[in-house]
Amino acid sequence: MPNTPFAVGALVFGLLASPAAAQEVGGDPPAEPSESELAARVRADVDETSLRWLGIARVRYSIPLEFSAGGGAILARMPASHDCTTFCEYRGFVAQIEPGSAGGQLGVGYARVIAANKPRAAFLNNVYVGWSARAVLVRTWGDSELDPARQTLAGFEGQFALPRISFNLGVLRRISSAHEDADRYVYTAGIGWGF
Amino acid sequence: MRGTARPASAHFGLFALVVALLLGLGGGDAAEGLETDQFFAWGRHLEDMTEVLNARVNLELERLVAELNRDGRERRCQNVRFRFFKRHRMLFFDGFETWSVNSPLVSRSPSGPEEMREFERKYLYGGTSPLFDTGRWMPPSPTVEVDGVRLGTDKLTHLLGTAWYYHRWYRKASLRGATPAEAEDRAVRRGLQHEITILGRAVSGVLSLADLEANYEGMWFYEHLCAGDDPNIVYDAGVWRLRRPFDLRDYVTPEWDESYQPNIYVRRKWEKVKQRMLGYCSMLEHPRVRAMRQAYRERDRVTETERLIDEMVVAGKLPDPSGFSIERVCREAAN
Repeated sequence: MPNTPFAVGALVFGLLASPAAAQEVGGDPPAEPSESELAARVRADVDETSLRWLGIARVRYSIPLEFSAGGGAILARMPASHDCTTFCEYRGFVAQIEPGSAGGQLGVGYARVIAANKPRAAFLNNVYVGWSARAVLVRTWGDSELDPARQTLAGFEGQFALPRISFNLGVLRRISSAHEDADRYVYTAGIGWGF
Repeated sequence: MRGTARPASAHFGLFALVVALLLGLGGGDAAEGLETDQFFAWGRHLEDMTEVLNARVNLELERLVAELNRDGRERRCQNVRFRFFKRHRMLFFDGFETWSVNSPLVSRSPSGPEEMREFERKYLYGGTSPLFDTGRWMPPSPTVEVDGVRLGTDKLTHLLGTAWYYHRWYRKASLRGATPAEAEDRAVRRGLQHEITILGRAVSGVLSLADLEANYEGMWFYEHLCAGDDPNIVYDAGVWRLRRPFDLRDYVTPEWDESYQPNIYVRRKWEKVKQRMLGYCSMLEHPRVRAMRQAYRERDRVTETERLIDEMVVAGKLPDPSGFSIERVCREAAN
């Protein structure tokens, strides 16, 4: 797991190891922890958190980027002992860069996603459900359908992801110069895979 | 935007292509499932997690009490219930379940990458399509042992999450003048309809009676959280306090074990599940499995959910769940 603090790992290891040690010395079954000891262990397990980052990736078709592939990371604080091989909730800062056939996008914001990652993997493996709200900066190029084809826009994008599919909607405002008839606002929509 | 966009049909074609490709890509990396599989845990040692899970829930109750005391005033019980529900609610998932599938303090099966890989091979619903079976779009719920009963961690979500809605239906009926028995009946029937439609059978092909049992018990947890003769939380002399700690033993019954209380499957699903279930026939003679099922039989009683299901079976609205039991499957295979 990326950047799980060693100290917290040692704490959990120590907590788990203590009953086994008692068994070796006494030869008797391990003593059951008292109610308050157990409560303290549970409290420590819940409260000991670490910041983790995990890679995110998506491919999608959207307006105005058309076909695009994005890569980025989510930085979330979560219980340090969680291995997330089944699933975890990641809540935190998200950043992503996404070049496409008709433009590129840079997005930063907040994400909340239930997902799993394989052991020692750097990327989220399965996204079960999640959403994000991002501030985005978009530059269109090439065969963009916007008028003018090359312009810079800034705005907001909301994303909702389910297994196998994700949707996004947003609004952008042109911040580069253009001719008088050019629309100032662009509404965005997309469908894709990943997060 | 430019008026001279590409023809709409070209856009639609591209869109359809993208969707098809994405569904195909996603199917190749499918989640193992929304459901739980207690058969996989047969014969595997699991520590009893009653006290650990109780401690986790009681930690949240203590924190709720502290939060209420920070506010420093009496609140309606329904408000207290909702605040507890909100404390552990996540996107479609429940905080207690998320903790129980991750914490090193919880003994569960499968656990760890190696056992997860084995689970992926043997999973009861593994024979179904990862692309079209929506039940497999969600992660599996590992099995834990509570008070001698093996249950999926999803039951924590049902007991403390889904049951919130049961309790709301119960309360709504009560406020409209229904007697407690009538209100209970309305809530349970509505819950069954949800499990048949949006939450269960229509979506995943599985109607889990064990889920319904946990939902039902959770309804009473919420009812008695801060009301009645024996509440968990009370407001006493200007202070909120945890009067009676939460105890899973008050709620868990053998009916929560899906290898004991059979699910009802739609035909397309059942044909595949049955084949996987057959692989466990020999395990019925395993000493641990025999002892566990004998202990279950001694504790078994007719629950409210079972009464309702029986009624639906008699009315021809549901198939008899006993037809989906491991005993029936193995008996038919032997003949």
